This record gives sequence, structure tokens and C-alpha cells, in this order.
Amino acid sequence: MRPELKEKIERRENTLNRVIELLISGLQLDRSYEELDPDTPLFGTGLGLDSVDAVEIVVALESEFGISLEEGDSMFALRTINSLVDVVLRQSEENLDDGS
Amino acid sequence: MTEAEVSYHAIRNSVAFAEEPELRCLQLTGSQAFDALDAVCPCDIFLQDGQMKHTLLLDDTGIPFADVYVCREGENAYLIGYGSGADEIANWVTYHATGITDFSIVDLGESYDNLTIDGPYAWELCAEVFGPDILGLPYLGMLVLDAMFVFRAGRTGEYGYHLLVPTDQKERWVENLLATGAAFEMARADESVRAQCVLESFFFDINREGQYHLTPLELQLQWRLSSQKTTYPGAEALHTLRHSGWTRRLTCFATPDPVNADAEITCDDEIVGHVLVAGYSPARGDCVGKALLNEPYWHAGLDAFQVGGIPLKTISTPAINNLSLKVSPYRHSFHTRAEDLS
Repeated sequence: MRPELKEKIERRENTLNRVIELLISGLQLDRSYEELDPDTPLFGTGLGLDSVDAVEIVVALESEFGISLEEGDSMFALRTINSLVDVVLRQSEENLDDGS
Repeated sequence: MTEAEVSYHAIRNSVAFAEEPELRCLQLTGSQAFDALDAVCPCDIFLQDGQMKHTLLLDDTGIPFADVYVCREGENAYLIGYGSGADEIANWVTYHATGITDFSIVDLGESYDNLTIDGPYAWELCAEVFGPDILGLPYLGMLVLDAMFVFRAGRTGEYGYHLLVPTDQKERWVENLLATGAAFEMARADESVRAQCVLESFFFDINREGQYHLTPLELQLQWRLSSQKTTYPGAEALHTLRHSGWTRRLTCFATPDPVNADAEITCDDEIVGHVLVAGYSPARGDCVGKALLNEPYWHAGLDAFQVGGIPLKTISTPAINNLSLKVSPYRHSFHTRAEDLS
């Protein structure tokens, strides 16, 4: 495997692990890490979270990763675990580019 | 626009209607109806009145053979979904509900017909045709409305309703739908268009990826299983797989050009997986699909793959942003949509 792909996969896995741990601990989910698939829906079906949980996630993302969700973005960013990971990775890269 | 394009546009922007005779609906009655469901379903059967839960029916090897919702209305239980005949499901429940006898199963398909309504304004059309009570029905909720059963659940990513109407009333309801639906630019949606919407939303399709003999662990459907129950059909096989670990996973992807089911996916000339399902996404303007990818290539956000020379990137789900997320039954209307969403 090419080094840059290996690095990209590792970065994705690490972020995915941290997001799942954040969901389990922050929302007291009755699920183990292995039971939470990356494309699990967060609201309605899937984990069945509600609007209070959404606020918890937004606050936890800011605390854990230093990222903030714009109001327009959150509707789409909060759809699955993977979509949360996308936002974290994208904003982390933007922060690096900005030097912040 | 072609007929398929009109149907797709209706599902994604207004409202579409389908009859879906392949949707099964079984009613379980008797003092042990929920005990029977609890014995055969892999999810926890804690249902409030009017609540639905999305789960699967598994064979003894842990492979899904039906994609179902379990529902409660009063003292009755309901099992609705896709993938097997009603008789087959009823016989399977009876066989596996060992020692549970005080329940009976009725195939509602013998006396009711299904009408499926999907789209960002499905709620508004349903309220006009079937009555305003539908507006208050939450996602994964059901109610009995006069002589019909209403289930709010869909697989397109938009607002969705299944209405079971008495067979002798079906033609009247269809006529009402068509007459009222004209003002909503309603279209009929055939199975192929609906399947493409299901694909874009990464909903499980028992007739497509469900034919590859994959477990819920490989299908990313563990959320449909209880984390506590250990005694349902297929539980032992899943426990064994969890213990040994699984090395491939269903992953969503996008390609600029069409790719075929069963095509090999490569990364630097190494075969890392196969395409299971693919199709054009009008909303995105490219092709989307579901692939079975090996670990560690099974992650979203990787653009290192090829299918016969066509570049493939893995993406997070769902593949599109649904208009329904922006539409509220309390604030919006199809007739004022231009101002509402500007």
C-alpha cells in the first residue's frame, strides 16, 4: 500500500474511533465500539437520537476537536457517524491551512 | 423528460405514488403476540402504542431474508416489510416461536392493498386525501385511520407513508390521490426508480445487496440488532462472527461513469473488493453504488480505487442531501415552496 494511502486510512480510522468513543461516552449509548458501524444513521432510525442529543454532539465536537458546526451544515453533518467524521476531518484540515 | 426522470423528480421534489404489492403486512393478535415477535426478531421488542422499529428477520446462519418493521397498535402487533412471501414469514414465525401458542397471524394482504407515497411534500398530499391526523404522525409511527392502516416509514430518504386500504376501497383512494395529486405534480414511481432512490439513501435493499448472503455486520446494519438479546434465530452465527471478526464491509461509492455489479475493484492492481449495486444518481450527476470492500480499504473518503479504468471513491452516506430535511409540515407547503425555501 502506498504510504500516502496508508496515512489517509490511519487518519480516518483514528478520527472514526474518537467520534465513536465520543458518542458512546457523551450520550451514554448502550452499544460497544464494535457494534457501531460507520454509516449508522444518528437520528430517527439508526441510533434514534433526538434534538437534545444533537446539541450534546455539537458541544462535544467543539470540545473534543475544536470544530464548530454552522447551522446550515449541521443538518447534513449529523446524518451518520461517517458524515460527522467527514466534518471533523475537513475542518481539521481547514484549521491547519489557516494555521489556527 | 422521460417517464423515469419525471418519477425521480417527483420523489425528490414533490410527491410520488406507488402500489408496491411486494410489501408484506402481517397482523399478530392474541395475548402472546409480542412474545412471538420477541422470540424471532433480533431487536428489542419494547414498543409504545403506535411505534414502529426497523429490524430484520435472519435465517439460522445470520443472513437476512426479510427487511421488516415491527409495530404496535393497541394490543396488536404488526410485521411489515420486504423480502419474503407472507405465508413464508408467518410459517417461519410460528415455527421459531417455540412454546408460544396464544397468538395468530393474519396476512392483511388478503384484504388490503398498499399505497406508498414518498416525497418532500408527501405529508401534505396525504393530509388532504386521507385526513389531517396524518400530519401528527412521527417518523416510525403508525395509526389506524377509519378502515385503513397508516405507517410512516420510507426508504427514499424523503417523507414516506405506507397506507393499507381495504381492497374494495382501493380504486376510490387511487382516484382521489390522482385527482388531488395533480396540484402537487405527483407522478407514479416504478420499482426501478424507487430502487435508485433507495440506493442513493443507502437504505438496505433485500432484493439487491440482500442477495449476496451477507450478515448485518458486513451490511452495516448492526443498529437493527439488540445488543442484549442472544436467543433469536441467527444469533449464534452472529456471535461467532463477532468473536472471530469480519474483514469486509458494505461501503458507499461514487464513480464518474457507470460500473457494473460484480465488477472487481482494485487499488494499485490489487483486488480489494467488488461492486454489488450501482446506478446513476440524477441528484449528484454521477454514479453511486454499494461495494463490498476488504479491510482496511472499507472506509469512506478514499479516492484510491479503480473499476476497469474508471476511478472510484468511497463516500459517506447518504449519497445525497434530501430536500425533506428542509421541509417542515408546520411551516411549509408545496404551493409556496419557492418562497419557503428561498
